[in-house]
Amino acid sequence: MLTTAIWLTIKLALTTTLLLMLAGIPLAWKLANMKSRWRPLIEAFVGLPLVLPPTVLGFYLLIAFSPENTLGQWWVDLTGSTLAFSFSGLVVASVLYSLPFVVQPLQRAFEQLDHGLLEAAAMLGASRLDRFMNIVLPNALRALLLAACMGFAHTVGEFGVVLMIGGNIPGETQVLSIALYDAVETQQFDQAHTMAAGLLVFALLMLVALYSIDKRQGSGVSSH
Amino acid sequence: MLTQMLKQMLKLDLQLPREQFDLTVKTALELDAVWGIMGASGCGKTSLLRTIAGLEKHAKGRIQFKDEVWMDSEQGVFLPPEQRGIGYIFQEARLFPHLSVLGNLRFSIKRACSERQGLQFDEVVEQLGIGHLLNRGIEKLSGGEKQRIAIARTLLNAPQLLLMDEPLASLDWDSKAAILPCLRSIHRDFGIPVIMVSHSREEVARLADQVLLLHRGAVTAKDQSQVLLNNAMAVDDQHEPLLSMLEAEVVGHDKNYGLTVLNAQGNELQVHEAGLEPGATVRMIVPAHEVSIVLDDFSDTSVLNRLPVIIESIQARDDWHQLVTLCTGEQKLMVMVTRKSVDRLQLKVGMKVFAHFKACGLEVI
Repeated sequence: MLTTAIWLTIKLALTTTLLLMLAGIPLAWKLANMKSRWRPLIEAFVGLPLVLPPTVLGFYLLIAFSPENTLGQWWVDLTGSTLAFSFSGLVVASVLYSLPFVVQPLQRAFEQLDHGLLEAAAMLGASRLDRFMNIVLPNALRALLLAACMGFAHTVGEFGVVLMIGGNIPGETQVLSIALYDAVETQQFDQAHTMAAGLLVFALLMLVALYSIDKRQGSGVSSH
Repeated sequence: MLTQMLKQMLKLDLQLPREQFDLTVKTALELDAVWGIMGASGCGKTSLLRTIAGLEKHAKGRIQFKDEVWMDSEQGVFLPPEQRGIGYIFQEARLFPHLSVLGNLRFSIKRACSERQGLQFDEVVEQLGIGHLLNRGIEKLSGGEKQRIAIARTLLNAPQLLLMDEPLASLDWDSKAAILPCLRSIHRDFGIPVIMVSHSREEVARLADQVLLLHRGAVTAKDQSQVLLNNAMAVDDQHEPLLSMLEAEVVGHDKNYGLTVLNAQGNELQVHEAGLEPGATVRMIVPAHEVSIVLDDFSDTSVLNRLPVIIESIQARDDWHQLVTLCTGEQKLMVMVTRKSVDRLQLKVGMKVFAHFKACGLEVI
């Protein structure tokens, strides 16, 4: 049970982080360069999981995943199984739930980027995509690392959303935080201790890593 | 012949809305000269350069370089900046901080237009004296070093037109002195058309052949730099020291004293030996405050250069200073004197006097 849960948690966090980076990088770049008056609204939607109880997000996702609704039906037509109470459903939920933790640091880094560098690159013949890949991303390397770590750590730490839409199916949706809850409910305190301590150490190490990345970013410009 | 000439022009007919006033420029620049764009700060010099480069998205009108149309807002044509083949040297170096010096240069070489003959790497590196910097990161470089690398980066991109926005503004005097000859030789040796923006009379005097004068977003004058710079009223900026330009021919060298002898319309001038071949045409820059007026040529002085001149005009500069314009043949020399001196020497328009001065800058054309 323990190894299955650990493996599932890592798989979920890795998949989610990968998708988060793929979606978060263009979204953060778009937001950083957006002058439209709709920008605060989009930012608010991205930031919702920061303030919303996870159960609210989970509840609405559960409804959306139901085969009676468009998204749920479309998924059933596509794959033959339902999104709710499946690993795929967990991935979708995790991506939405951790989105602000990836988008916000990236957006901040993109906003701080000196646009003069992009003009200089354009005058040297670099196309838009070329400028993004070879000027924007390398100059936001620390923010990218930070965002990936935040996304990963936050996904490992989620509980409420998973409980709402994933339930507690070993090997499919039973991640560590749920397994811990399950162990306490069934009074398996030895297992509960192992998992709780493991998650605590993981969280601590992750935060130390995050803070050291963040600190280097602050002073990096002058000392590098 | 006419079509050939038209092909070597940059034709501008553009408008750019700005906060205080709109930039409206309609003119054509011949590309065989180095152009200086001058004017008080905020007159739209930089905006004009950025519009030519395609960096101002809100510009309207038409820009044609030789036979390429870069912008024609009526036809909906807007060639993105990266496809115009322009080298742009910004006021700040704008080096890429995540790359080394060599990385910055390679970035440029990789994206150079393959159809145009690029400048040789070794040649550019040597001209700008950056060979010892290639493997360094860019953070610890001095301002002058950064700007030289930015210039090298631009040249290695094989541009078909070079735009420079106050390339020397952020540099100290030593760096300026080192870079100025390089900038001049870009045009002379590599044959790249150059348009530069500057508020400094000296920079323009040293580099530009032709000057476009802007005032509040409109062109107010367009002429040879010598004509415009020697007219104090044309480029009137109280903060900029006035200067004159004299053209002269190298006659020979006085080895005993380390001097180069020049001939300026029949008058002999001497400057510090500058390693020039006899026969070369040079441009001599004479700041107005370095010239003194002497009534007769009998008294001996340590000043080497003495020109017989005629006073063409005397204008009040401020309460205590007057600007005297002297005339020698077709060339002009401006002198800043105190009102007291004008009264004491009883200077009048038409008087024959002598101008004594030390030569300051010397540029080979």
